[in-house]
Amino acid sequence: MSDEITQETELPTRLVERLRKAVDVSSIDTAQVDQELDVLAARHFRRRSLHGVARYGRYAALAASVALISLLAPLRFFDQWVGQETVDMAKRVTSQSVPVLYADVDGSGQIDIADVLALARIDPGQFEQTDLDAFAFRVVSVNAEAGVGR
Amino acid sequence: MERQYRSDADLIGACNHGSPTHAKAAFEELYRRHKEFVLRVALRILGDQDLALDVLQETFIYLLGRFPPTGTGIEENSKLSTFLYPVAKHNAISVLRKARRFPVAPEASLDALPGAEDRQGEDLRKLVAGLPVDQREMLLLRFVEDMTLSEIAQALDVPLGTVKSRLHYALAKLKASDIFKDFRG
Repeated sequence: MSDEITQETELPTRLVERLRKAVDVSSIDTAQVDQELDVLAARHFRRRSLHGVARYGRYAALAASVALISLLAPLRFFDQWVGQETVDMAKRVTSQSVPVLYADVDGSGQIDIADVLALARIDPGQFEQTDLDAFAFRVVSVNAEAGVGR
Repeated sequence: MERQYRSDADLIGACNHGSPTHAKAAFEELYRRHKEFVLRVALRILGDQDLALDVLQETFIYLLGRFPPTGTGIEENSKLSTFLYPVAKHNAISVLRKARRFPVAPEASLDALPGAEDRQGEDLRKLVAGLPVDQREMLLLRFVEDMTLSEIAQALDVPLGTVKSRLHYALAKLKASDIFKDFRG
């Protein structure tokens, strides 16, 4: 069936005008709703930009954490070279409680920093930054203990 | 300088992907363009201006929520009225059920609409109000809201053939009435 408007499905213009007039709502005052929706729309779309900033900020924070831990964790095993004070600091920073998150997220067959990044990408709102940081600490610490990268 | 007309699809696109400033401006334009449509739908069902205004607000809040960051956006290939109609109708029926605390037929009356100022207008109103709900719905969407048959089918989620047949019966009753002869003459 086509969507064409035929003469059979038309009405006299004057009748249509009267019909429209009979259901006219232009006199209803919508000022209050207009104003409330204006405020809600401004708030809603502003959250969009904040959401974007938060997401990129989250990646930046994660990258910074990974960089810091990558730098400090190996120092725990090099006390003869860097001095006890530095080793103690590295131990403090990298000695986290066992994190809940520790899994082969990307299915690569090993758990590494790529899994942390994959987890962050899956759903930026699902995991806390501290959980991701803990995952990163654990990955870097385990790899350092195992001698990965030495 | 005359502003360039932007289609609904274009405005929906801006709400889906635009910067906060552009998205808000596009949403405002969509609201300005469609608020009377939503009000008419709500008022036909509710017969109460205050409740119709509540439905207007709820319907556009729902629409707002469909856009990012809270929603995934809506399709950019159609007129917004086809999206808004079922939402407004659903909201209005919910409000009516809450208000009356029992189920009612949708769009039960046109009595709530502003009264016609003469006999001809009043007769037309009674005639339309006397049509079965589904036929009246077709007639008003087609001739008052100026929606195409395809858009009506999409808004009501019914086959195009159903729209055509309901409209055919509505028009047949209208054309058989004395008032139609008055307007045609």
